[in-house]
Amino acid sequence: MTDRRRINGPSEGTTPPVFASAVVTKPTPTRAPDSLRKIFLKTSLTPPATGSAFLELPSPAPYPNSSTLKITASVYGPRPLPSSAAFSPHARLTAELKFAPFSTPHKRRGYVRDAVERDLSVQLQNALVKSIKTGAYPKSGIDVFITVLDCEGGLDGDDDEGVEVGLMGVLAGAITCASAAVADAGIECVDLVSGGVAALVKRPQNSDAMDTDGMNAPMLVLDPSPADGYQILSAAVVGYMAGREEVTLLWTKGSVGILDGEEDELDLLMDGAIMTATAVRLVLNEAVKERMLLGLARSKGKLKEDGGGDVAMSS
Amino acid sequence: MPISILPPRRAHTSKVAEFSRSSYDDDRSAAEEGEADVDMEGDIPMSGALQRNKRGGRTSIVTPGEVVTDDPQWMRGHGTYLAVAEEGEEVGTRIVATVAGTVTKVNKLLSVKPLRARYTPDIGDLVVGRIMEVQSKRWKVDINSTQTAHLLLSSINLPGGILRKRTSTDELQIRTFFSEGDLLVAEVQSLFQDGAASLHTRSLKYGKLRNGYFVKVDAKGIQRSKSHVLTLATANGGGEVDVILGVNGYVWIAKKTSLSDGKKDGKEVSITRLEEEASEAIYSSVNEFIAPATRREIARVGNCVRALVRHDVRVDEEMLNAVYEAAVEESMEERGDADESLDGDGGRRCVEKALGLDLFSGEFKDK
Repeated sequence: MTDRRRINGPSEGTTPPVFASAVVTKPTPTRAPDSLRKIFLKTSLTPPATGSAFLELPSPAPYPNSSTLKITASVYGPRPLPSSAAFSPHARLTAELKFAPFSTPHKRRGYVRDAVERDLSVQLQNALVKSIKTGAYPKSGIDVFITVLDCEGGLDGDDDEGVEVGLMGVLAGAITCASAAVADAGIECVDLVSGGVAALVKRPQNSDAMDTDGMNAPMLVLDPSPADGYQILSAAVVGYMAGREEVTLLWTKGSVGILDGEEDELDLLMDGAIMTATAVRLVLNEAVKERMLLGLARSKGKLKEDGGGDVAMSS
Repeated sequence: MPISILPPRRAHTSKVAEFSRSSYDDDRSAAEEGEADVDMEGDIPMSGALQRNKRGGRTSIVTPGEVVTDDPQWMRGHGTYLAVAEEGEEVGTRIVATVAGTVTKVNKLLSVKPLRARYTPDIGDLVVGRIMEVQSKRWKVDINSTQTAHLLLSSINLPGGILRKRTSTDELQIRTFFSEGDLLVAEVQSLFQDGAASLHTRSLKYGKLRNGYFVKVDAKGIQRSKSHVLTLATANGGGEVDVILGVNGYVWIAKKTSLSDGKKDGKEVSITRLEEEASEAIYSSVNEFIAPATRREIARVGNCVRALVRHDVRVDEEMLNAVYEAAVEESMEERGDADESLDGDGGRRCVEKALGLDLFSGEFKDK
């Protein structure tokens, strides 16, 4: 007697489908290790916010439609703290980083803040708060909201591929973008903060350095992308105030030690990340300045119709 | 030695167009590509704005963290801070910008003016605000500043005569004067230590707002001027419209009502009893009937204020009247793209017509 109330499976049973796995070719790096990606950065794009910015990195050359890093930042404030809040003689900065549900390519992200977002938010807040003159705004709050619209290649790296740098790239981009938004909001800050990433990677097999004695020495790569296909041994991200030469944030991953008994890998990583951040700072300066020029040109009645170009820099 | 105070000088004269053009040039971006190359010293070329001025090629726009000058003869003003620089053996101070803006010099005082900033209250400013919170003896008022302003119960006109003492009954009835969400026009009476403002409405000019339309513009769009309360005679049977330009960027546009309008018997109110007569109606939250024609013209005036601020033209009685006239004409003309919101080209055309100026080229048009 068969059960008529339910839809039953075939009595013989089935074999589960087996799909031929797609041939995964490991991407090969197309940039020189010490060159950075171009950055698109524009401010004042979110009208209701006091200040805002948008940052985007280009897709890698062979895959024009692949996902890249896209980040928006909006700054609200300084605005009065709610009366329930305790007295604070400084401005209270809160930073909130959120991944959009569609930001990762294969897996949708939840709406509720998860541990990764909370961790990045705290790091971002630490990186920014040192640049803002919080003493100038007593009893007020500054809220920074970051939304990651797209993060290149996802965030869950395979363990055998080494250290995962996707999150670091997101954090560095978020720092740069948030700092541009803070400057756009007209909030007093001692300096702008830019983020930079550097990584030590396993030297590719076909490298010229094979025949030298440092054949197994790792190679320093600036602004590494998860899509580059390097096997990353260790990586660092910094928040750097180039005008004051101060590091506001440092986060390292992977194992770092002493190379050949003389060179400290941590120093190498930090220097690389600072170099990246310093170059990014040029883009940041130009983006902030571009908005000023647009405003000034308008106030002088001299808005040029072709003046809507973007600030893109490469190295 | 006699001291002469020179007028503030904007440093960016006539260089704007040149700079904005050059920064999009191809050779310029090529130069940027070269600059952005990572140099091993980690140095960042941030030449001081004043040095650039000496070269004469650029405007003095600075970004936060940029050194404005290391010349010790300058005093630092708003938007800057002093940093101690140690370059080798030399220890000196330099003035560094804290906001993105233009460098302004008054005698030996250097300050950086941001393009836009939040409103910072000053004593005597006329502001439009919204009640955020009611406390036992005061209101907290949002005036678009970094902190909420306070309005004390003792600094409003209590009904029944201006010189009445505030009593505990008034404290219990505090919501009958202003409650949450009410809009009011007030003057900044004093400032607290932390920069928060204390307001007062002890004049018939100030008080609760009704019969109108609230417009928020950038705080820098409304400049301090002689009069902030304007009356416009509108077209299309709209009647007279009051415009209150709050220095904080909040603007109130309402149907003009005179105080004696409420009186049914139409008898004249003597000037000495004006305060008492007015006080009963002054805290009313009920709007009068506003004819559709008036509403339409109120909305048009609001769009004119927005258009003026968007094109960075000073909002005053003369300009507002001129732009309003142009906007009325614009709507009369049967254009295919008639756009009464004045958001896009329509707003630009109206402002240009009012100014007699071409906003793109900066050249005066023949009238």
